[in-house]
Amino acid sequence: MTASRPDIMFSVCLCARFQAKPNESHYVAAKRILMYLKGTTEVGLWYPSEVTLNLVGYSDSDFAGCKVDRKSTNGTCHLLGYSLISWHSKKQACVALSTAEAEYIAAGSCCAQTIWLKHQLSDFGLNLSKIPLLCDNTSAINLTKNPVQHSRTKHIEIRHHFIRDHIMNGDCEIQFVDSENQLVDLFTKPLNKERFNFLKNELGIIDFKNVN
Amino acid sequence: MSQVEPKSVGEALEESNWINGMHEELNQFARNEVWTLVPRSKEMNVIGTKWVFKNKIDEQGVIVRNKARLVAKGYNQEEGIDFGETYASVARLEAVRLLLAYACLNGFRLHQMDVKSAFLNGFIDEEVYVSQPPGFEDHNNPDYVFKLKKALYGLKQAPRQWYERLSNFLLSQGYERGKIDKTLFIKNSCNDIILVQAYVDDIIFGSTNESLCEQFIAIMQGEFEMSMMGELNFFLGLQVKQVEHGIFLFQAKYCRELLKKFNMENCKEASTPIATGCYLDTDETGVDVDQTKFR
Repeated sequence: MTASRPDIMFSVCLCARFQAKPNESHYVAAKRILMYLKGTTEVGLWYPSEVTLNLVGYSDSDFAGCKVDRKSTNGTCHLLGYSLISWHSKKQACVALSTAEAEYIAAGSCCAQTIWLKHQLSDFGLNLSKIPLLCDNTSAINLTKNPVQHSRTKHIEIRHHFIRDHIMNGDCEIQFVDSENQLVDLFTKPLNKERFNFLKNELGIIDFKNVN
Repeated sequence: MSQVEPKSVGEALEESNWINGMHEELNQFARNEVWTLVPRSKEMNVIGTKWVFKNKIDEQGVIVRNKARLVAKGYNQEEGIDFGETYASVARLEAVRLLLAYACLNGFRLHQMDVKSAFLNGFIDEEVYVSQPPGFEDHNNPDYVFKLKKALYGLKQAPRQWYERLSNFLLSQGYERGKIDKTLFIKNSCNDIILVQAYVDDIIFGSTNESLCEQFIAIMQGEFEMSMMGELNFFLGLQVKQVEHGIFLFQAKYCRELLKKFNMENCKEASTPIATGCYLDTDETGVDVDQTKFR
């Protein structure tokens, strides 16, 4: 179901974590998703034409969002023009010590996906470079630019540093985005109605009625 | 059309619609030269076969076809003897969406087609024997077995052999394989490009120049038996609507089925899928049924 419905991605993933040992509260949450689906059966993704071809990646994380083991949740998404083509909501494999570290890891996984999309697009005959990767945390951005290790970041695993390499090669380029325009919020935290609908609209998740 | 799916061959053999379905499948086998009848010997590892009955429904949920498929019981196969490598050619969903978005931005239409009994097209490298189909045994030689020339549904190597056949064919026709996505095939001619994405037996394709699409259809029809050709509108459970200034991707049909499955067709509506400030944890109060969470 999440193939065309990024709006339920976060909640589905959250519920899925408790598949092994569900109880009352999880059941209620799962029911809530279905209730939401009931009201939005005909919602889907809208890919408009007539826009410029550019690929943008967004990344964000919810620091220590999981109450059980304090791991953070990654959220990334990629837009080609205004079309949302790939998204991701995943609990990180390791515990992050700071928001910057959590964001840095998220940016890393976003970068990996960007590279894949870049290769795929080059097969289509479209060569892109310096693909913007938007992140809302300045310390994480600085981390990607500055290879200096210091006491607060020296423990970050090597595999997360591959993003630096790709930035230096010019494959992608990290940019700051303020939290207001951070579209990935949808995949990292529960939101109120206004914010939720705003983001849905921005990502092109609309009702069939509104097509045309 | 028969409205119920029989649970066994016995039941199916009492219904003329299903008998027709089974004959159709066996005719398909004959056309594709799938197998030859040979006497059984002791050292053969003979794999059992089984009928699978499925009603095909259209977008409105009306039964349009009673389809019978003969499958091999692949779980009895032994590695090294009956099969070497296994592989299935599935595209990533992101790749499909990327293709859709790209098509949209370049203003070309996407088409789809479906290869009829795709796996029966794959040649088999190993010596594999299967038993005669239940209900359709050869009366003169009841203990003979079939030696396979082509892959059968259910065999471990079937998807791989089909992919091999398809990719070899397209490569020989001047198509190039995608650098990382092996299910994508591309052909450039002058300034036009045709993109072909295969998902096992479902193929979607589109081109900046419609004549390239026609060419592709022609060569595919020359090589394989095709069905369900036309504009892309339903792929992997995704409903696709191509309109003048964009493409809309949705799953209303599946969504309704899901609600029906959990008896929630008449429930209240919620404006967001999750309550703000709702953080789930492993609280230990009463275990509930898991089935609703499974998706």
